[in-house]
Amino acid sequence: MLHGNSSITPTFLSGTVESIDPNDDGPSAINIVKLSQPIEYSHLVASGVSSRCELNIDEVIFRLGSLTVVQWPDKNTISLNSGSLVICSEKSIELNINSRNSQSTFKGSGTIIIESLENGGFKFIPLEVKGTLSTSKGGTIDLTGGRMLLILENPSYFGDAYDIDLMLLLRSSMLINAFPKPLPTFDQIGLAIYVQELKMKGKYDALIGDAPTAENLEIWRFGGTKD
Amino acid sequence: MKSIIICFRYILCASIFSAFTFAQSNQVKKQTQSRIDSTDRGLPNPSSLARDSKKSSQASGSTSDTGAQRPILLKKKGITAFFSYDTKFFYRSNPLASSGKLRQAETALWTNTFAGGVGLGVFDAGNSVVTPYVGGSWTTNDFEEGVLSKFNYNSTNAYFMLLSQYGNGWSARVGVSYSNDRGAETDTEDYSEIYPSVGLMKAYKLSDSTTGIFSASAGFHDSTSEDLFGISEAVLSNWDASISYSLKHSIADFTLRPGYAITYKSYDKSVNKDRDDFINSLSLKIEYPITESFNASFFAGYTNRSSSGSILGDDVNDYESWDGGAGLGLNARF
Repeated sequence: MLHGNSSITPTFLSGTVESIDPNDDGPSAINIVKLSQPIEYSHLVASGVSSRCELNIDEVIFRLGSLTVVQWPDKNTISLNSGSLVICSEKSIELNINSRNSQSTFKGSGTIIIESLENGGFKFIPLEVKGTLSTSKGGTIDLTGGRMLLILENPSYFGDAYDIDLMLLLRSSMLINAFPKPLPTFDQIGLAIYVQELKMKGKYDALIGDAPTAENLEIWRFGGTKD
Repeated sequence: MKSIIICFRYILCASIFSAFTFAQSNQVKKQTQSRIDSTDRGLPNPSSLARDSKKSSQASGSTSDTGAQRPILLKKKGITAFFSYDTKFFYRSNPLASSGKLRQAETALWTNTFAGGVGLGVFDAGNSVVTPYVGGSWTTNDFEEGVLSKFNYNSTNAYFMLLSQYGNGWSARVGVSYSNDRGAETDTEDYSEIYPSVGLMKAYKLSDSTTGIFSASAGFHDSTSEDLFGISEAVLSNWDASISYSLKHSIADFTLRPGYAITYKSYDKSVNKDRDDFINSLSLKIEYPITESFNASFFAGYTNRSSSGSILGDDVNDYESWDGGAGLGLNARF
């Protein structure tokens, strides 16, 4: 659990990031996010094109990617409306992670990428992790670094799981590379990559895309042909 | 009387011939032991056991901030087997590691090494990952200079090692290896040893194309070889400690590996009772991948040993040697 008088404190800003009061209709509802100025819980935080920010809540790091809309209804819940974000915690926490259509509860510590899906669910991509993820219909599962999960529908369940190339993901992720300070869990991420390299059997010539429906997941073969 | 003289002459000639043959044989044995004494033995370098991280960023594909998500196939238990074969043909200026006149006995050497091993799983130890390895190798060593062909030998090695990789880039290893040299012509065991050792290694990026690798190790060579001096078969047993630094630099498809190592050896048996050695080694290897599993290499090296404290004399074990040649290698992992 995130304890105490935890505030949402911006620690890095790039481009335009705004906070929006959902209970206010007027122009004063929208404010530019400024460094070290806490953001209210229940306010939406929205990043523009090529805009990113890093926020700190009680030593848990949240990084918002470009075109991302996120809300913290309370200290222990994060709702991802669109876009992608990183959650990085060195200590054990319990966090409710929701998207437009799906809900889950994470218990543990680690570095996780969350990406919203067109179908209202989300991708849960742990880079390195010690913990579990629970959904109302899918139960609780142990998490493994590099194994991506799809969380779908409401009541939520787990879709297919995919082991993904962590080295490629890290090299190509703006959530990792577009921020000046490295994440404090880089050593553990390095170990997760090392374990993956030791266990590697092969790589598919494909990339995973969005999921327009709960039943369909886009798989892009190299060369751009969509399946 | 005449028959006694003839007999005496015969005995004298036989004695002289016998003494000459014995001296030649003893000389060969000493030269063999000198060659053995210069052979570098140790546990395999952990960096050679790990899969080389390839540049996998060619396929980026994704416009999302998340990054490219490429599905991969992983082994369930992390048990890996690996096999390699390499052949090298190279010049060695001082193959018998001798000081004095015999340092002129330069030759070409042809070696063939078959090696294999198994990684016995991947175990999470909190802030590190531990992997046990077992493996072995067999190497043929053929001197191309005709006179030296009697020194041709085959080497066998078997090892068990625990490798612990930490997230900060350091790795530690502890293991034991068994090595054995046998004369190729005589099929007699010239040397054997059991070598328990520990080591540390750190690899870190100096730039996008260059990695620095620092390595340190120490161990004890518990050896058995011919007792030429009638004192102890463990005459070549020694404690050793080694530090090395190397670079791995990529230029186009080529990988350059310059390196330097310094080794200290302390002997405590027989005529080597108070002998200490310092060995400096410089090396350069250039590798080119012909296919993913097959590579060509060119290499050069210089070794200098400075020895003191041997009962036989301070300079008798000093030597220097130049190596240079080419090789082909095949690697497979399962």
